[in-house]
Amino acid sequence: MRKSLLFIFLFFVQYSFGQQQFQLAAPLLKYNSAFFSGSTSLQMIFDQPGAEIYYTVNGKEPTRNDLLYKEPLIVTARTVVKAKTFGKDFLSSETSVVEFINAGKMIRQISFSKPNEKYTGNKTDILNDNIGGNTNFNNSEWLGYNNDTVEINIDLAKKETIHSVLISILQDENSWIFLPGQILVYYLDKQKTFLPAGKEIFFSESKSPKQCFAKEIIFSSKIKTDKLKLIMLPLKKIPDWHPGKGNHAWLFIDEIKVY
Amino acid sequence: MNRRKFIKNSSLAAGAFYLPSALQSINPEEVILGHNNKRYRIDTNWSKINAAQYPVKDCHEMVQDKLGRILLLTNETKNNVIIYDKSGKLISTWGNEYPGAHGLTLFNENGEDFLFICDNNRHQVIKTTISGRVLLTLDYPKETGQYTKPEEYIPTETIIAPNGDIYVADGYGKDFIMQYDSKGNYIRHFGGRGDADKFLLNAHGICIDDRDKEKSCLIVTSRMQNAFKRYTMEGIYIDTIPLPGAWVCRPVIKGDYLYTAVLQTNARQSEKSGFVLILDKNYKVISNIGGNLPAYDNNIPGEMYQTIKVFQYPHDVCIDDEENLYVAQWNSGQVYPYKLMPV
Repeated sequence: MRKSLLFIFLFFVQYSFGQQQFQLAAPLLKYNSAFFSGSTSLQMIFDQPGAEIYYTVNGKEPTRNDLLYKEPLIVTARTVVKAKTFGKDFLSSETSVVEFINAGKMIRQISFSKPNEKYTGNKTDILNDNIGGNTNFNNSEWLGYNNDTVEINIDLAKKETIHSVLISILQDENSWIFLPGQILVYYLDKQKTFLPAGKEIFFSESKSPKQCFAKEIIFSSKIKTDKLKLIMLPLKKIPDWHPGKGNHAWLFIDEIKVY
Repeated sequence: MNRRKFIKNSSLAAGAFYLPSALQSINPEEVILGHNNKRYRIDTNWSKINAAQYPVKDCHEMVQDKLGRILLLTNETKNNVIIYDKSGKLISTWGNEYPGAHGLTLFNENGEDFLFICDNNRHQVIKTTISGRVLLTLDYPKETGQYTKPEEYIPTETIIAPNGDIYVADGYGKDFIMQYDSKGNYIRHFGGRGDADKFLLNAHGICIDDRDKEKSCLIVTSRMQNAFKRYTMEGIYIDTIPLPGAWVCRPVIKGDYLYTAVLQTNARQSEKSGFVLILDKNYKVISNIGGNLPAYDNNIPGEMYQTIKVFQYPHDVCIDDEENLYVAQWNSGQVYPYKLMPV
């Protein structure tokens, strides 16, 4: 009760003094690719007098008590960077996020079922070229699907003991791009048959921010193989909370790693 | 969005951060927007009209007439043209037949004001009196040999030369610029799409730059290329003014300056990332209202982006006789225009 009174008081103070508070925009994060081997760098850009960028590398929302951005960061391990702008007389910004993904097992090739002709990427190694992690679905780093089933076959360079597979998926619901309903992972065993290795089900029940979502599917036990198969099932119907409800959703993927 | 609604929304969005900052600054400094000698205070409640009675959809473009009145063009067919005084009070409205109302240009012909409306849905350009009586309608330009049906032609903007010639930008169609005489007879076309510099991509706006009276030229928007392109009055390509990151709408010249609304930025597409950009006589960015002031390297500005969320998708700027700005916005929650006063 007391809290709500304070809120109402502040509301009227703000309103009666007639000063409008605007929100800062989020900082721009500049990097070549979110995927790297060895190391990579991240530049943050926001040129507004009196405003500063604060960031975290522990996955938490940045506050003024976190790290102050001064110069480009060198990234050497899998890291989630979250950054936000703060300034006097302004509301702090929304959060910019990037997850940097390190290299995995050596991949010989990845073949994939035919994407929509508008989003083919025009590269045979598009899912293992170490390029991507930008949220613009129109650039040539993404494969885009709007059919019911996507099949992906991964050939490793040699037989390896592996425990997980990571898929970089775009979430851009304003553009009707959703996480898939399901991802099923299979591996080729000694008898040359594909057996289930892992599975992930997604529920797009409420709105998500636009982001590159790196989903790592961890297997219940380690397996030894040189071939994996992924079956991804794009959402057949956009959920009811979305303006595009009932239509077929899109699935966009840009990189796969095996660990 | 009115301010009451804005405050409510921002309180919800900012959550815990809102309370401490409000406590610290019960009477915060008024925000001054822009850079250099082009800095402004803003009034987001300029429009005094009743939304239930005089609704808007997209607020596309605005002009000031010789009586000092501010005219707004919206694609709301209850009142396609809303006429305000400079204080934001309603004077009158007209127009129900422009479902795709997009471009609004005013031309003073021998002392009398006329309007040119580009309608995206009707695939036509319509010349009217200031009170809306139709005088001339230009259909799709089959004379060019580039069009086979009206649907291919989606005009977004016009500009009228001192001799009365009408230039039409087909910014959502095939990106050609058509030149007609004052009666609507086809003279020539230029622009269109292609790889060379002289071509256009999303030719959303056009104006005449007559700041150098000896060398008037056309400035045409190539919005998806984040640039303006200059042509002679006969359509010969001169050069490109790159504006990296900025989805510039129509160029508007007033005094020594060129103003334009930036619908959004490359870095944040479909994310309400617009601002208002001002260039000096040498086409150098001197102020961005709600955006960063870019550094220049070899006469090319650095990437531009939104810094303050003042606007969502600004679509046009009108500069009145007292140097105030009015900003109309597309797809921004039926918000009425904002007014900015120079400081």
